[in-house]
Amino acid sequence: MEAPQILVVDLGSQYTTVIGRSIRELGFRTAILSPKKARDWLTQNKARCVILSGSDYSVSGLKAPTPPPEIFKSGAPILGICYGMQWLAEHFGGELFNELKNKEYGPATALIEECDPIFKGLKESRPVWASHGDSVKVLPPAFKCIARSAESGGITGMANHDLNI
Amino acid sequence: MLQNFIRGISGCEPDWEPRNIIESVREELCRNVGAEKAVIAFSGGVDSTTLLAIASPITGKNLRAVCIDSGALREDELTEVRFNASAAGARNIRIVPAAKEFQSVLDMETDGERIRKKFQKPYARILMEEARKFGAPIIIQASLAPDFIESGKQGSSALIKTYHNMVNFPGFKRLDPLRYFFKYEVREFARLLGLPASVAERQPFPGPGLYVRILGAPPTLYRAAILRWADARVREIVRKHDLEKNFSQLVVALMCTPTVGIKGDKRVYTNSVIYRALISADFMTGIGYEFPVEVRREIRRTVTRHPKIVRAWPDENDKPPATTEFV
Repeated sequence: MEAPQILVVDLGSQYTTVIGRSIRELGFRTAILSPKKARDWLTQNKARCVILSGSDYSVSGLKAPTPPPEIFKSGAPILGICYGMQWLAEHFGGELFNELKNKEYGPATALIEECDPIFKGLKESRPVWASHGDSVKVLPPAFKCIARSAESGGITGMANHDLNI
Repeated sequence: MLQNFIRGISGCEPDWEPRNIIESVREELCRNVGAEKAVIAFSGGVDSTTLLAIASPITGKNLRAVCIDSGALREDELTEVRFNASAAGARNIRIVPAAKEFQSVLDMETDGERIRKKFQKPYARILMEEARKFGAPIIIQASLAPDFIESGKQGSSALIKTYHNMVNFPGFKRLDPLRYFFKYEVREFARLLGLPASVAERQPFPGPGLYVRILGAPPTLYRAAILRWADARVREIVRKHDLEKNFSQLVVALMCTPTVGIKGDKRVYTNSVIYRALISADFMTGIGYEFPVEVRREIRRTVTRHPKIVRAWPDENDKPPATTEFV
């Protein structure tokens, strides 16, 4: 028996276990851990990929949960969801909004801008459920926008293939 | 997108096939136990019950489930323990009455962390004694993956373990067949094995039990009895109103800092009860559950009937800043 290949860093979202359950349904195991436990887990295990969850917190707020820097050490692909994406954007030098006009709570439409491997098999435009206060205002250098919100024009997806993020 | 990321981009191969996984756990158990006898530390919780269900077909009568009654169990807990053991196919179960020993070791301790630490010694001693009595060289535990993640400063090998089950058993072979798994996976095993929902969906209860829910005074058997009664009444009311599905954990605590009350005509100066429920998917963060007004009314009117309880408060604090348990 081996350790799960997928590390999900739980940054405090009520949806994190939903992510875990969905991944199980696809046939994969996950290690869902808090940032602190994730750091310790990484000293004993190797992750084939890392997922940064959403969070009830704001990246700019006090006590904002931080993924452990160890996630970058192995070069494993990293997927940031919601807060996870915003944290990555800020970490790599981008800027976040917290303006009212960019907040989205409810159904939205995501428009795929780039043919990224993560969108393989998906239609160009798809309905999504958005629930976020913060959003990415300025992309970090070396990241490109791969999807946008049809309603607000905001960045809904970004990628850097050299870093595998 | 998850599929694209996990399979396409990261090259992961599917590794969650619970039936195969259960089989491989059984195979490993077979190899490690062979024809020997073993005891399994059994609390009636989802982890130990699931492990027992996995092990029973392999070990049959060679496995004894040992449940230690530390004096901190809830009302009807032993009935549930017996029921769960039977549902898991246990051929052999022994419940060890050990309240006196735990009380003497706890020795009027009030600090929660120290209580949890002190709890480990009698726990280990009793398990080893029971293994010896049964002629078993092997002690099996249902510890999970997070229990084995070393914490502490980087580079240090010091483990910060205040989990009651992370102890050593000198002279015995120790097996942790579930050491690779997480609770959400164990619950899936439980469902697959056909264990009742009361097991698969069972909410967590701390090892040191009611002893860590007695606040502001040493956890004596007398106080544990008062709390046991109050805890049972609150749970009854919650069940009656079918609220259990609304939260992940219910905690009823005895607040021993006395406050004044009136019982009959007499002035009394005694305990109160605080209760809370947490809505949480992962126990990392959570929202305090807000009990409906009628339920709060019923709880306080029922619980304060006890001569040693004058008040009952709902605690609705979120995590953070509060934690799931009080101590």
